[in-house]
Amino acid sequence: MCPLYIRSSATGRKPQKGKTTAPDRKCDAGRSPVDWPKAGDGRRLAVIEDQGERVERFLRTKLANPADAQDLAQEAYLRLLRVKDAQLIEDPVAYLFRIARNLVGELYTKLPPPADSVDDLELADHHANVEAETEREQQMDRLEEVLAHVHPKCRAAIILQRRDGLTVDEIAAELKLSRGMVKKHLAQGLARCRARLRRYHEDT
Amino acid sequence: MSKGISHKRRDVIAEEAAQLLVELQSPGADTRAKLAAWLKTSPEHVEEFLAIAQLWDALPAVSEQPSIEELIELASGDGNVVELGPVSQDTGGEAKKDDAAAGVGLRRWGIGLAAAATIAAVVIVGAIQFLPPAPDPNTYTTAIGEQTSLPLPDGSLVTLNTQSTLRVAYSDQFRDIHLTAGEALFDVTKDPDRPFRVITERAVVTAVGTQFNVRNVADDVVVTVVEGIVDVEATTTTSSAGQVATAPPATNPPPVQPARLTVGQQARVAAGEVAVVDTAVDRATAWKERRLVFESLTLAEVIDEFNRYNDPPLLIDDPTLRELPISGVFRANDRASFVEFLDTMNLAQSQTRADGTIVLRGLDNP
Repeated sequence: MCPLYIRSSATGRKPQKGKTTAPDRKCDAGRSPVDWPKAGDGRRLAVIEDQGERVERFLRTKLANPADAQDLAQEAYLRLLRVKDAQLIEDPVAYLFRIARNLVGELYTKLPPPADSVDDLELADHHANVEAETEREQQMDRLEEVLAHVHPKCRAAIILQRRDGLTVDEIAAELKLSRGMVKKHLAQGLARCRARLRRYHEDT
Repeated sequence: MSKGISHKRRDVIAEEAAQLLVELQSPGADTRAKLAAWLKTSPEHVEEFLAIAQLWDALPAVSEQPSIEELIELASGDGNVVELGPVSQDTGGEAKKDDAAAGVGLRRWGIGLAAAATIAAVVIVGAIQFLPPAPDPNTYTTAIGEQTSLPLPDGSLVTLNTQSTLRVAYSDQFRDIHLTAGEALFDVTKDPDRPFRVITERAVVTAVGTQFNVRNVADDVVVTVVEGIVDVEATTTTSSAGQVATAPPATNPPPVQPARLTVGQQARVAAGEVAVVDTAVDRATAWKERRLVFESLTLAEVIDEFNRYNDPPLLIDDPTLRELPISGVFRANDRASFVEFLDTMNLAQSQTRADGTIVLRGLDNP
């Protein structure tokens, strides 16, 4: 018997039974996907810039809610697998966040519009803003709390770089550490903050 | 909520995510490619990276206290008491609340020292409680369908495929990895003074700085070189598995001359012999993207491969089917479409048992 070439399976798509995957489409409703700032250049990885846009806000809320974050990651992962390697490698962070934003955008477009009249819309927006602001403040409080727990060197490295804008070299000089160690402390501190935040979210 | 995957595994993933993010601030030539491949490991990797990136982005807005000077003072006040270890060995549940309460308020020099001492003590206690009593902290195992990447102390990176076990045994002279079962892709940092060795029951693979794949499944050991040069030698058939694992042939080199492999070459070690052939590298490492690539394999072999990733297994209940030749590319965790294909092409029919096992039969043998 001659060998069978089963290329159709290569994409991993199968006739869907039960489980459906949302089709890959750009978020519509007049919202053109905004390009994320290029990450990786300079000190700021401005992946989620506070642009005051609803989708941004939505994405932040999603990421803060563990169950939502998990769903979002699951779907984003599936889409990432479909992306060509060459394309993804060009700027993986921007790509990942574009996918995440599209997902959130899709979800957002499925929600019922907040209201009909302009006044109501503004009011609803205002409420959403207040809510988001409260949520953001809570997140910041928690972040500062977990930062207080990490090793002082890690904490110093993180805050000096992110809040005070010092470069890795400058931090290395201040803390009398090598560049490599500063980076290590940065990564370690971030990971610990994340670990603590996750445990916190899971406990509540 | 995070189903199945342990805190410890999550912490390791978070750590990798953080390292990648920090690395991205001054990216090297391969940083982005590394991140792209890493993200494709699992949804948890995506989730942790999104979370760490969000954290990173929120940080500029933290409060003005403590000041720069205070931070530096606190940081330099403690010496190097606390070792940088994995997050998972960090202070566990309750103890941290005390040092938190202490840590935040204390900003002056002397008190800073006291706080640091508290933290050090807590970390040590925490580490003791947190370390699993289980076998060996340097042993890593993946479950069926699981893949994971492990950063090693020297900067090398191991990606472990499904159902695999390895043990890290670094010494001053060697960077030894015992791959006791399964398959792994090694991305090795250059260090001519400390060769990197992968030791299996049947073969020893030595590299200085390179990338290669080792598959230790069933009776074969298959080594594929993605980059650089590696040496492969069969271990003497007289020594038992146990001896090899505990006393690698470094101190007691086997008489056989190792085979030297370069990019695109593959060595198969069986019965003490090393056979070298040219191969398509991306096929050997396709598993990293959860792709299975088969070229003229028998259905029996294909199913063994699927079963490495999936549980409950696929079974063939018909000897005539076993030799059916199969070529193709599949998703490792999508055997359903493979079974469906066999059905549609009238090559075999499938039946799912109550325990989830899928049994394949020929059409003539219902």
